[in-house]
Amino acid sequence: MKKNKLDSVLKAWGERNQPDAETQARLESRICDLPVPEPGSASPRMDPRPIHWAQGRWAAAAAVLVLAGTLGWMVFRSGLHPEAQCAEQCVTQKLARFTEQQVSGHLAILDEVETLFPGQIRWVRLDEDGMQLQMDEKPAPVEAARPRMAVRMVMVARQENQDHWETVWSSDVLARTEEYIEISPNKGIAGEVGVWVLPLADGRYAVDSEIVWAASDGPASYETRILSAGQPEQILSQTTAGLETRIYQTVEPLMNGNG
Amino acid sequence: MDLIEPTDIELIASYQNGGPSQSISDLFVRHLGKVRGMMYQMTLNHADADDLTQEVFIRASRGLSGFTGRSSFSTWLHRIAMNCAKSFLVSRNRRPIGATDEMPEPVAPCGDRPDLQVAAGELDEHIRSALEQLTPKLRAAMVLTVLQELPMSEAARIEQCAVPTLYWRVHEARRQLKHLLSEVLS
Repeated sequence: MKKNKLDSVLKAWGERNQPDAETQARLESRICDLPVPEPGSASPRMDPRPIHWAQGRWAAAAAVLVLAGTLGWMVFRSGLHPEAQCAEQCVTQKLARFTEQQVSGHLAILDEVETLFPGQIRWVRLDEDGMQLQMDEKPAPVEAARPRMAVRMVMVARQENQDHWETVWSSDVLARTEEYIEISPNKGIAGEVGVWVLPLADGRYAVDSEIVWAASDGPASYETRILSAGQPEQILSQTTAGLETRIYQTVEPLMNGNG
Repeated sequence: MDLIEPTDIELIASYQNGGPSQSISDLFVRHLGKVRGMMYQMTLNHADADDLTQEVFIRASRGLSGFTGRSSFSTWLHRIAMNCAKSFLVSRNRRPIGATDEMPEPVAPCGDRPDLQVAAGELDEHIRSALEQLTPKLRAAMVLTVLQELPMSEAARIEQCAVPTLYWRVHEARRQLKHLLSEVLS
């Protein structure tokens, strides 16, 4: 079987690339020379234990202060600047939401290309640059049809001192669930976006996203999120050099016809 | 002479109870080969793998006093290692194109047969190049399940994702690798 051959080739490669005895000895020496902290002096970030009460009192007090501060800030903001809060959340999320016309349009496109190239369409990408198809050379073997969906990814940005968000990049990808979608953003942004969507029994979607921008200060994210159909989810927020960037993702089921 | 080696948990307990630091050295040396192997399989560069291996054990030594054994030490260490490797890969990917200092890795030793050594070197370069084209998550999935031979459930715990997600990643990584290595596999 090819699968076994691939595994055995990889395993043999792994074994050939084990460090030689000299490297191993040098590493052992480096590791054994590491200063070992006294038990109990470890960094709290690495501590997976439930916090004991002696430590916990301070942690709990700090948590209460942070919570109170956050709640106070939220009340303050909602009381004095309701529009500003909406500008931050509603507007950016609205950008990522599908309209009914978009859903029916996407459905028609996917129906059309799947009719033209049965079993060969991996995904269809739609954005302001037009339409791009990712196809397999040969039709895939007949399998239980996976549900179809549209995934929207939107990157918005604004200067820190401004309210208005601008769409930097946006793409809709139409595919069947569990199809790995890997695209490069347009508009001269060098990077890779990988998305995989798994439908869950409760109607929601597990979305695995990998975002790596080539620019040194570009956003990078590896996320697994549970999304409700049609509800935009912010998967990344980053501020660099005064520029606030967010990426939203929405999954919309495309149910009709072949769906 | 005690012929029975202490378990990981016993070595950690010894350290946590104020025992000799040698117990930690013994523990780390026991896992060194696996961690170093994994770091190479993720970074595909021997020098980076050596440095990251040291970094993994520095992080592990800092966190060890808080280790409670809710997962096995091996799983805990693998998770630290994977996080180290992924952080490193993200920062390496952010370097401007052309600024990477990628050099061909030395050919793996292959006995006294120069012809086999060259062939193994070419094969290794094919495999290295193919693995390099996988995204860090897909590469991690292959490293954990195929090269490190961990069960899916443990690999998923290390990757902090659902088992079906990991299955998919392995599936996708295999698909891409089969395509990239089609000449080697045919």
